[in-house]
Amino acid sequence: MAVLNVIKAIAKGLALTAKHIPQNRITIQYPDEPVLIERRFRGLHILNLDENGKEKCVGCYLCAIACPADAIYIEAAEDPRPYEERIGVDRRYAKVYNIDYGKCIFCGYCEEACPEDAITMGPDFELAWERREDMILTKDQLLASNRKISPRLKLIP
Amino acid sequence: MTEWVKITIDGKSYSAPRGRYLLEVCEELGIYVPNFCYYYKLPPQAACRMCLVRIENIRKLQTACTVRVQDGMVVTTNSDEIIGARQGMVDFILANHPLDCPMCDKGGECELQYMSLTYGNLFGRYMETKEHRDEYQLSPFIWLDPQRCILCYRCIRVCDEWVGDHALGVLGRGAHSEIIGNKRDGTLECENCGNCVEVCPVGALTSANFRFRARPWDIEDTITTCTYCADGCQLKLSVRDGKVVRAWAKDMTGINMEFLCLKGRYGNEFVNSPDRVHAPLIRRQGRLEQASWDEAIGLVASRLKEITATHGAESIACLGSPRLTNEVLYVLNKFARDVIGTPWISHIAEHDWRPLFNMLTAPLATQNDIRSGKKTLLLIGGNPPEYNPLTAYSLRYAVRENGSRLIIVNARPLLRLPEESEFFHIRPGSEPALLLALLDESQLNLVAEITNLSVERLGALRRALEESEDLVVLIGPEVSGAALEAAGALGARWATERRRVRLLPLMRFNNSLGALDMGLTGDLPAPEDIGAHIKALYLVGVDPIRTYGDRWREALARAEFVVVHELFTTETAEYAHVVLPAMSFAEIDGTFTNNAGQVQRVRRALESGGERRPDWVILRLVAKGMGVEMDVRGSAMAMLKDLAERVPGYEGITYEQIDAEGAVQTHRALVKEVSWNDLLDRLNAQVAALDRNRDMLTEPPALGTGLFERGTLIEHVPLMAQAFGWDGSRSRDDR
Repeated sequence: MAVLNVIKAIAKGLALTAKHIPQNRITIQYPDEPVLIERRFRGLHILNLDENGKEKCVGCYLCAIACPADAIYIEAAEDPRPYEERIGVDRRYAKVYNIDYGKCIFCGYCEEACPEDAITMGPDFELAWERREDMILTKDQLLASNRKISPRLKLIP
Repeated sequence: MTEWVKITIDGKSYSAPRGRYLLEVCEELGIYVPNFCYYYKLPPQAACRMCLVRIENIRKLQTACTVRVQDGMVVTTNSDEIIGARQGMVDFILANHPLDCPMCDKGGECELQYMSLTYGNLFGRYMETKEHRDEYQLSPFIWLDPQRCILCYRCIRVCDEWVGDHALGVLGRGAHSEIIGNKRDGTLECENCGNCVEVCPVGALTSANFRFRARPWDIEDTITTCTYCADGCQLKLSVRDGKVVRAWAKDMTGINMEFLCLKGRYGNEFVNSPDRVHAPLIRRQGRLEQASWDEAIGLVASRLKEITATHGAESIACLGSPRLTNEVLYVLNKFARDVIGTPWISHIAEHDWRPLFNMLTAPLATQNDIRSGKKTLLLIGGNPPEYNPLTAYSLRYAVRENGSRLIIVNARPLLRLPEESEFFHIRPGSEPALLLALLDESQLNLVAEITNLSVERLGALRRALEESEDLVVLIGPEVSGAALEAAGALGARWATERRRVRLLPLMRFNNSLGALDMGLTGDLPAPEDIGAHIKALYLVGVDPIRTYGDRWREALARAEFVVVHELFTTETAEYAHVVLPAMSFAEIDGTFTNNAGQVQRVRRALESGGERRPDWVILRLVAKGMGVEMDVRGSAMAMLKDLAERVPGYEGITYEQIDAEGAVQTHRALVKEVSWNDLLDRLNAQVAALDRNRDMLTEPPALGTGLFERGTLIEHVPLMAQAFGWDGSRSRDDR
């Protein structure tokens, strides 16, 4: 009898499953479908550029001090060349700009602290790495010019 | 006697010494009056006008930094009128000052930022465009951003009064005034001490080594003692990410007040050098190769035991550096005498100061002694602005603030000492004769002939000492042997009930005196003896080839076994069989004794990378390898306790006491009875041997003779190497 009871229970369960298969799916079908992301979502940071492609960051260290998780590391340097030739908007720029995503808590304080609108929180949410070293993203990986927004996300207009 | 007067500030009455500046009085009473251009003990400027206060019965607001307190003064420091006036002043200052604080290097420790936020308007009232001027380099060490300058003239006054360089000035008038250097193109030619950078309230003057490297909130400051000259300035080492990024003067409480010299301020980055030895090196087939600590210590211990067994303990010589801490020198002395058992335990001394301390009849003069009260200051030989910059600062301070009388006896005119000083120009090398004149009046004719001074001038010099009530004699390294004993005896000769005499030897290294106190003699083995009866050398932080020249190169090549504790692979290390990586002054705790006999703390500022170990740990390990357990306790603090029990003069000194007092004076036994006849005989013999025909020198020694000199540590400071064109340190392959 016990066996019969078990088979009955399984059949009941499968029936419920079968009933739901043709119905509308209410979860996000990631990664087959893009995820809808709010405009103000706080994802992977972007280091912005000005209209001429110069880095906006002046290496003032304010984001680093605002960061409650101590995830930002900066080394500022000097580029005395004229505006046309240099890297940043001003003669002071961040030579090294690292964010450790093992530490970052995505609070957005860095964005708020930035006096130059150089760092903003981007929409990227795909934050998985295989090694701890890879979790530290360098300036090159964070710069807007080197960033491709993932095809698997869509910003809510 | 100070006369006290009654004044009323903000409705409360206080008493204050007459003649003090109102701002200083307010500050001492704890009433804060905002100010920019005021600086402790600098002549008032009243340029910023932030310290405006209302004084009753005076029609306009007055600057508190220039008004001296008077009896019955009624002062208001805070009212709507004053707040409005201050807002107006901040507006004026910001009229041309850029508001890009994130760009500016001073952000976070800027006085103007603080003033604008606290006393300024939320919105500036000037709509006009700001005048833009580009930043430029005044010297390899100092940058100037003229548009950030608020014209407080602190830098100019500091350069004039503290340093005596008179290198900065103002160009233009009114709003177009600009700080400018003394060279034709507006750049600087000076000793580059960077004191102007230290006092700059805004980001106008910045240091080349610190620019953009860190913010005040992400550096950690450690108060420690400078590792260059014997004056022993207190400095703050700022560390970011395990790297020294700058050195700053401690604060007004250090013996150096807020003064630092070129080397103290910019010479500390050798600590960060990638050329540092990071692991033990052993010579194999003529090349130094990396080895483990066990291997290196085992080799050193077994070779030292072998050499002791075959040639006796006397064949091993231990040499220490006068840059090491007292604790290390103490352990080294113990190691040499107890573990090895050799009488050869010495330090590398540029000058033998022992005669002075053997015949010391007067206490040593501290920097504070020089700076407080009206004195007569007699400087015999030496060149303090180059070799003992803090002493030079104190001399200038004494003359400026107290009207002290400065008498300079030197073979050359000296730069950057007060013009009010009296100069006795003597023949080079005739300093001993001058001391004879000070001790024995009957020899003036002889001395006059040797020194090329007239008998009247010598008489005037003696009279100056007779007139003095408080005498400090500063003794340069030109005075040696019996003359140095005579200098030590000056106390017995000149001190009376109403005349106090103090002595200050102008020593060279940060712990020259400590090395003598710790029992390291100055008797080096002659280079010829090495290989003959000295078979092995145990060198702790010394580079005899650098100090004494190529004669030591051959000597070291002849030695059977050479061990070096070093930071860098020096020329001497290239002859070493084992190089053991030691820690620098920034990585250990300890104490230094300065030339005035004051013990000051060295504090650990950062972690040492690599496999480096403190010298005393290495010595203990070697002793253990030789089968002797040294009675050395684990920490520097415990060692100081040990040392304070055994070394005369250091009784009872503890870290707590040094932390509380800053600098602790050691006690020195004074010679009570001087056998004058003996002393004068020796001095006469020395004077008789002097060359009486040497030409007089009229040219002052060049700027930077001592300060810009290349040394084993300073050559590894990138900024120094770049500024003075020293070739880069030898590459790694050469090791």
